[in-house]
Amino acid sequence: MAEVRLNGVRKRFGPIEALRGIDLVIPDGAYVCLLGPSGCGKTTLLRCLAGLEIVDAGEIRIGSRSVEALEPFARNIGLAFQNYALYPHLDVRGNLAFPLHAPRHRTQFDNKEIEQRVSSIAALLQIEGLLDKPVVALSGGQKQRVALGRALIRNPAVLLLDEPVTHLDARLQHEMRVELKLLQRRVGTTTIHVTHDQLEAQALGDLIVIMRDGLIEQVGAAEELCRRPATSFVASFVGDPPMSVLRVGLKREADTLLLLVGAAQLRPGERLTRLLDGFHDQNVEIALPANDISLGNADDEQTIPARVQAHEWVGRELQIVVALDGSPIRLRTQQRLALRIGDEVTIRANFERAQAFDPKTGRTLRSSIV
Amino acid sequence: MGRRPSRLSGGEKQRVGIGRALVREPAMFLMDEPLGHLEAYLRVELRAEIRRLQERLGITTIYVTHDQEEAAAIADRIVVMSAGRLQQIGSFLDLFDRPVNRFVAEFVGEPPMVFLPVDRTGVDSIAVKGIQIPVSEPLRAALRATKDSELVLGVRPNDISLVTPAAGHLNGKVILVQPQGDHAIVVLRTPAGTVTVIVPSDQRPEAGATVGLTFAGEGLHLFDSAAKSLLYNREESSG
Repeated sequence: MAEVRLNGVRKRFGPIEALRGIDLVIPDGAYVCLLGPSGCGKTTLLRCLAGLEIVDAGEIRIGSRSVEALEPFARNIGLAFQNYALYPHLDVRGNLAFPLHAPRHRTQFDNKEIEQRVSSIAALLQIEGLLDKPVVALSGGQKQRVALGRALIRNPAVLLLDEPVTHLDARLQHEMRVELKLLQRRVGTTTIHVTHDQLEAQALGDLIVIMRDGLIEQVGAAEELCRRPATSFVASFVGDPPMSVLRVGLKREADTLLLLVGAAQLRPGERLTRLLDGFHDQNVEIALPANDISLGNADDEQTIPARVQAHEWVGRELQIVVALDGSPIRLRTQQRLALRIGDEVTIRANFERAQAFDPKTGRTLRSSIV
Repeated sequence: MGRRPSRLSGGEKQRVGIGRALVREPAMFLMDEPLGHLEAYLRVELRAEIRRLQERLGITTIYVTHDQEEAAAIADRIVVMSAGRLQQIGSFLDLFDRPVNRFVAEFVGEPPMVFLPVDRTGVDSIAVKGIQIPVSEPLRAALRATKDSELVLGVRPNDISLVTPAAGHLNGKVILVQPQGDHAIVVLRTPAGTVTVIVPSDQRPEAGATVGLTFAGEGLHLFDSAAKSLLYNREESSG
C-alpha cells in the first residue's frame, strides 16, 4: 500500500505530446479511475506508472520512492491487462505463481511460500477449484480473476488495471465491477484503473481523473463531477445521461438578459443571469441536466422548437436526442411516444441548475455567492 | 470519394460498407454486427445514422447484434435467440416488462433481473426465506393454475425499494453502492442471496447499512421449474 504522486509528468511520441504535464496525488488505498476518450493519454499514463514507458520529464513517486528511473519489476506494482495476457502453456497455478519465480526480483520465494501464496490468492478470488486447469479452458470472467490474482500475488504497493472489464458482456461486466471493488476493499491496495466508460468509472472510482488531450481536466468523486463539472467537456462526458451542452447567444434588452437558443429567445432566470453578468453579444456554452429538459407544447412559454435526431429505449424510459445549432440535446421521458427521426418537437428548458462556461477558458463560471 | 479504403477511419469504412450494400436498392438489408468492433462513441453515433437511413429509405432491415443496448436503440422489433431457438419477439418494452422465460428476463435489462427462489405457502401465496411476498391478482391466478413447487421470483432492480428494516420484510446489508449519475446501483447481501437495487442518487444508503426490501407488485415475475414465465408465456407478445 502506498500513496502515488505524479509531478509534471510528460511523454512525447514523435510529434505527438501524449502527456503534457500531469500533476496528481493518489491517496494510499484509494481506487482511482483514469477516464477519457481514446487518445487522451490515460493508457500512456498507466504505462508510465508501470515502467513500460519511460517519462520524458517529471517525477513518479510510489510511497517514499521515486520510481520513474526504475525497471518495471523494481517498482512493486501489479499489472492486469484488458486481454488478460495469461501464459497459455501454463495452468492456473503456474500463471498465479509466475511472478514469484521471476529471477530479477530481490525477494526470492521458497516452494512452501509459493504454495501458500497461491492458495491464499486463489481463495481470495474464489478460483481454488480451477488451479490445475489450463487457462485456455477458462471463461472470460475466470481468466480475468486469474489475471487479477497474478497481479496481486506479490502484494504490490499499487495495482494497475487497463480496461479490465470493458470487453465482457453486459451481465458479466456488472458482476466483475462488483467483484473488483469488493476485492480492492478487502486487500486495500491502491488501485489505478484505466477506462473509457464513464459509468464504469463512476461505479468503481473513489476518485475519477478525467483526462483530455494529455492533460487532467478534473479530479473528483463521481457525484462532484456530475454536480459541479469544472469544464464543459466534463459536463458533456459524465453522467447518465450526461448534461446537454448548448451553445447560446446572449442578448440584452434594457436590463434583461435573453438567451438565443435556435429560433427561441429565453429568459435564463436570476441565477444564470448573475453568472453571465459581464458577457455581451457573444456565444457561451451552457450545460443542462437531462432532468431539466422536457417535452413541451408549442404554445407554452420558454420553449424551443427542435427536430428529433435519435430516439432509443433506456430501460423503461425513452431517450430523445434533438439537435440545436449542431449540439445534441438529450432528454428522457416516461411517455410512450411513437417518434420518427426528423419529427418536430418542442422542448422546454429549466435553467435553475444550469452551468455556464467561460468562453475563453471553457471553465465553469462560479458565482461569488455560493 | 477518390480515397482508398485503407486511408479511411473506422466510421468512414463502415459508411462505405453500408453505402455499397444500399446502392442496388435491395428489398431487404441484412447487417451482421456492423458496429461491433468500433469504439463506444462511434457506435452510438453510427447506430443513430443507420436508424435514420432506415427510416428514410423504409427498407426492411435485419440486424444481428449481441449488444442489447444497441438492439433497443435501433430496432422496432427484437428477436431474442438462444441455442438455435427463437425465444421471444417483441419491442424492447415487451421483452423488458413481459419476458416469456428466464433466459429473456435475464438477458434483457441492465443490471440484470434479480432471481429469488420462493416457497409456496398456499395455493396462491409465496414466501422468500419465510418472508411472505404480496402478489398481484394476475400472479395469484397464475399460481393457482400450476402445481409446480420449484418456482423462482424475478424482479427488476428498479422495481425494488429500500425501506427501514423490519420484521416481515426481507432485510439485507448494503455491501456496495455504485453511483451512476442520477441513480445508484446498490448491491445487498440478503438471506436469499445477493440482490441488486437501483435507487435515485439522493436516496442511496451508506455501505454497511441494514435496509429492508419491498417489491413493486406489478413488477414481479414468476418462473416455473422449466424456466418459463407463469405470467407471460401463454399469450404471444404483441409485436
